[in-house]
Amino acid sequence: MSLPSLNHTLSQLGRSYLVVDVHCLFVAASLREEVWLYSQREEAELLAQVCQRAEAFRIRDVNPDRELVTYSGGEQAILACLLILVLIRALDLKQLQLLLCGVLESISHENRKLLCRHFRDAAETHGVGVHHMRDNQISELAFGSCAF
Amino acid sequence: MRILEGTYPLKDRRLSLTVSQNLEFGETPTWLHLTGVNGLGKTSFIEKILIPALKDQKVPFLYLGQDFRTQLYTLKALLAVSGKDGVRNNIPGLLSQWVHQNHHARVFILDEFDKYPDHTRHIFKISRDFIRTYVAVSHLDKPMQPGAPFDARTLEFREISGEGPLLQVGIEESTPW
Repeated sequence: MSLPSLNHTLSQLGRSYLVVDVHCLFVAASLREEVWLYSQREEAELLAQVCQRAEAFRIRDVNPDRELVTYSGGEQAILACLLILVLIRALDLKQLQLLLCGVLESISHENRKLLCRHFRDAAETHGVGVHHMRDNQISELAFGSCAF
Repeated sequence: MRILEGTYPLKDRRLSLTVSQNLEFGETPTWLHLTGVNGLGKTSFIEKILIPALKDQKVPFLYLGQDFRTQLYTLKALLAVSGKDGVRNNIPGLLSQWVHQNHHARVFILDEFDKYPDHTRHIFKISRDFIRTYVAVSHLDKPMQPGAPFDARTLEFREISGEGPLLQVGIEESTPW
């Protein structure tokens, strides 16, 4: 019995999955900086898409320059997922396998259902697989119920 | 443990939390579930209202925050300073020692800690003999509970108004389930 460690998870699973760990969602301090790290350039359209999608989750005052730590924990988890989903579409990434660690447990029921719909869309258009880890077990996310 | 009704503006969190009625928790073993959509201030309620109230009322408490991985380093350091460094890489052992050292606590706050089911079960097992009130934030469809004799109570966080600089949030006790 151990606490899931990001290093351990990456060493075991990082070759197979893009790991989204609730304890290490972002590298940069704001969405703008985070996107810049990915692309080394300003991505206004991409940032606008993330912010627009975030509004449906009733995240207030979301903007590219707001410090990420000022969002609640659940809001940060949602933003990280939305950023990845927008990047998948923008970069036309196919067959990406996502592994969510502690992410879904941080998101309230209604928001989780909405996020699952976004994941399902990405699965249909880009073949994205979404998995989550709980009790050190990996299972595929059931988009329909999104029960947790 | 008592939280007085009233409005608590938390400007740095861009929130105004209104507790609709006095909340009292006595000797009756209670599991208090904090629930509501993301961003409505459950963690802020814990850190800015509940914990200051516990300190004012001199109610000893334990708190495991959302980011347990970071807190883990603090726990390790605390135990190392007190000469208990034999459990550094053993999480259940470390939790046991920390909880044992604080067996005078009466309130245990768990913020989304049931994302670690094994550790949550362990915490309940080693603390239920002396804890009177568990306060738990959980988004699971079936939140983990300590079981009998702890009565389940629910505090629901709801948006009242999004207009103005502060998000207005109401906090009220909903029907036990």
